[in-house]
Amino acid sequence: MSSASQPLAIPRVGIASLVRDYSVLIKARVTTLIVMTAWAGAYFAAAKSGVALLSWTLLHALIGIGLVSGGTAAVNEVVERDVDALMRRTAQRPLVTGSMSLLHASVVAFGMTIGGVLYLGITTNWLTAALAALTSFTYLLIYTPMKRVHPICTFLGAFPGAMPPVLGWTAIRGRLDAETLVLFAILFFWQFPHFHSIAWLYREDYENARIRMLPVVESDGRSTALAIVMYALALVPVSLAPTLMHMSGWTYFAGALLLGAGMFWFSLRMWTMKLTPSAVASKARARHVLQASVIYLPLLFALMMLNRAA
Amino acid sequence: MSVPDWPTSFGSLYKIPPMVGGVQYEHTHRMIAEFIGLLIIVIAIWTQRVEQRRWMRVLGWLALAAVVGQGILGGLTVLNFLPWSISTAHATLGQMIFCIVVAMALFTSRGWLQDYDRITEHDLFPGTPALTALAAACVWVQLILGAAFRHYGMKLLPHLIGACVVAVVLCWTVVRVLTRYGGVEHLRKPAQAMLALLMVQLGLGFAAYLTRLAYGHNAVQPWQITVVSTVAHVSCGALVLAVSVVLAIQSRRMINVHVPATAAHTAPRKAVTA
Repeated sequence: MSSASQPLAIPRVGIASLVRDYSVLIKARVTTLIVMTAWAGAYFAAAKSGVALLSWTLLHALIGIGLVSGGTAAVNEVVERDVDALMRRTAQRPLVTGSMSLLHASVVAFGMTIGGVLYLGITTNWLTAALAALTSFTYLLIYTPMKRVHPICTFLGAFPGAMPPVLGWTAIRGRLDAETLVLFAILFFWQFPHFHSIAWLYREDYENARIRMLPVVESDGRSTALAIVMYALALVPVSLAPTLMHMSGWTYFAGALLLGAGMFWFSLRMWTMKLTPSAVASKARARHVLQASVIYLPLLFALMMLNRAA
Repeated sequence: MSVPDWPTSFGSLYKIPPMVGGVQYEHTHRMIAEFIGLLIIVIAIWTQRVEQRRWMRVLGWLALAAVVGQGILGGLTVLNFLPWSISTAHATLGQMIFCIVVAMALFTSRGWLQDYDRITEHDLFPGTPALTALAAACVWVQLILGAAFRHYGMKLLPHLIGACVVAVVLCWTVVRVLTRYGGVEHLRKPAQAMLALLMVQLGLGFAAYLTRLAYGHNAVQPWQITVVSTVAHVSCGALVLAVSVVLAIQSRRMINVHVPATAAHTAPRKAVTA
C-alpha cells in the first residue's frame, strides 16, 4: 500500500496551507530557477531577432514553461511518493504527510503538464511545445526510473535539465540555432557539481530510499569528488563561449572566468579533502559546493544578459 | 452484451428495439456502422468510375473489403460472447478503415494533386520518412494494446508502457519535422496537429483511467462519465493514428533521403507529381 494512502499528519485546511502544499508539489523554487534560465534564453533570442526584449510572447513562454516544469515536478512527486516518505529531506511533502490527496495532486500534475504543452503550442509555437513535452517525458520516463537503477541517472537527467534556456530561445525564434547549444552546455555542465553535492549531503537519505546516486554506490566518494571537480573545470571554458560567439561582451568574459574559478575552487576543496561522504566533516565542503553552484548560475546568467553584445 | 443476436437485433433486421440501457449504445453503433458501410460502397463505386489512378481504384475496393470484414468481425464477437481477441481485431480494423478513408481524402485533395518540390535529406538517422512511419506504427500498436485492455485480454501495464513509448517517439518526430521542415506546410500542419492531439489523448487517457479503474471499478453499470471519457479516448486515438499516417505519407512523398553513392544499391526514385 502506498504511503500516500496512510496520512501521517492531520490534514491542514485553509488557503495558506493549500498554497504551501502547491508550492512544495510543483517545487516552486526549482521551477522559478527554470523559468529564469528560460528567460535568459528568450532574452538572447529576442536580442538576436531584434524584437522587443519584453513582449507578450515572452510572458506566454514563461507561463507555459513554468506550467510544464511545475507539472512535471508534481508528476514526479506523485510517482515517487513512497520513496519520498523514506527520506528526511522529502518527508514533509504533501503527498507523504497526507495533506493533499493523491487524486488532487494527480489532476494538478497532469493538468499542468499537458495544459502547459498545449498553452506553449497555442501561444508561442509548436516546436517549443514539442521540445517541452520531450523534456518532460525524458525526465519522467528516463531519469526518474533510472535513479533506482544506476548512477548514470545524473548524466541522463542532465539532458532535460539543460533544456529551459533552449525552450526560451525557441519560443521567441521558432528555431534552434548554434547559440542554444552554448546555453544548453552551460546548464548541462553546471548540474553535475550541483546534484552530486546534493547527493553527497543526503547520501544516507538516498541510501535508505535505495536511490543509486553516485555517493551511494561508490561509498568512498572518490568518483563523486572527481566528477564534481572535472565538470566544474569543464564549465569554465564552456561558460566563456557566449563571448566567443558574440552573445556577450568582455566584461561577461572576465566575470565568467572569475565565477568559474570560484566554482572550481570549492570543487577542488572537495577533491582534496580525502573524506568519505559518510564523514560529518565532508558535509560542510559539499554544502559549500552546493551554495557556490546556487550562487553561480543566477550571477552568470545575469551578467550574460547585462553585458549583452551590441 | 446488450444485443445478443446478429445480424438481427432482437430478431429483426429493421425494427428499432427499445433503446434502454446498453441497447441504446449497441443498436446505435450498428445503425451508424450500416450507414458508414453504405457510404464506403458509394466511395468504392464512385472511385471506380471517376478515378484515373489504378491504385486509387484498388484502394476504394480495399476500403469496401475492410468494412465488410469489419462487419463480420462485429458479428463474430457478438455470436461468440465477446472473446477479447475478436473484439480487439474489430476495434483495430475500425481504426484502420478510418485511416484508409482519410488517406483517400488526402490523395484526392487539391494539395496532393498540385506540383511540388521534393526535398533531399542528408545525414539523418533515421531518415524522416522512416521516423514518421515508425511513429505511425507505434500508434497502431498502442491502439491494439488499448483495445486488448478494454476487452479484458491484457492488463493495463502494456498499454501504459506503450503510452510512454508513443509519447517519446511522437515528440521526437514532431521536433524533427518542425526543426527541419517547419517551412513546409504539408509537413508542419500534421506535425503540429499530432502533438496537440497527443496531449489531449494523454489527458483523456488519464481521465479514462480515473473513471474506469481508480474510482469506477466497482460500479454495477459503467458511469456515464466512464463511457464518455473512454469513448473520447478511443476517438482521439483514432485521430492520432490518422494524423500520424498522413504525416508518414506526406514525408515519404516529399522527402528524398539521400543515400551516399557507395552505399546505394538502387537508382534514385523519380519525383512523383501525380
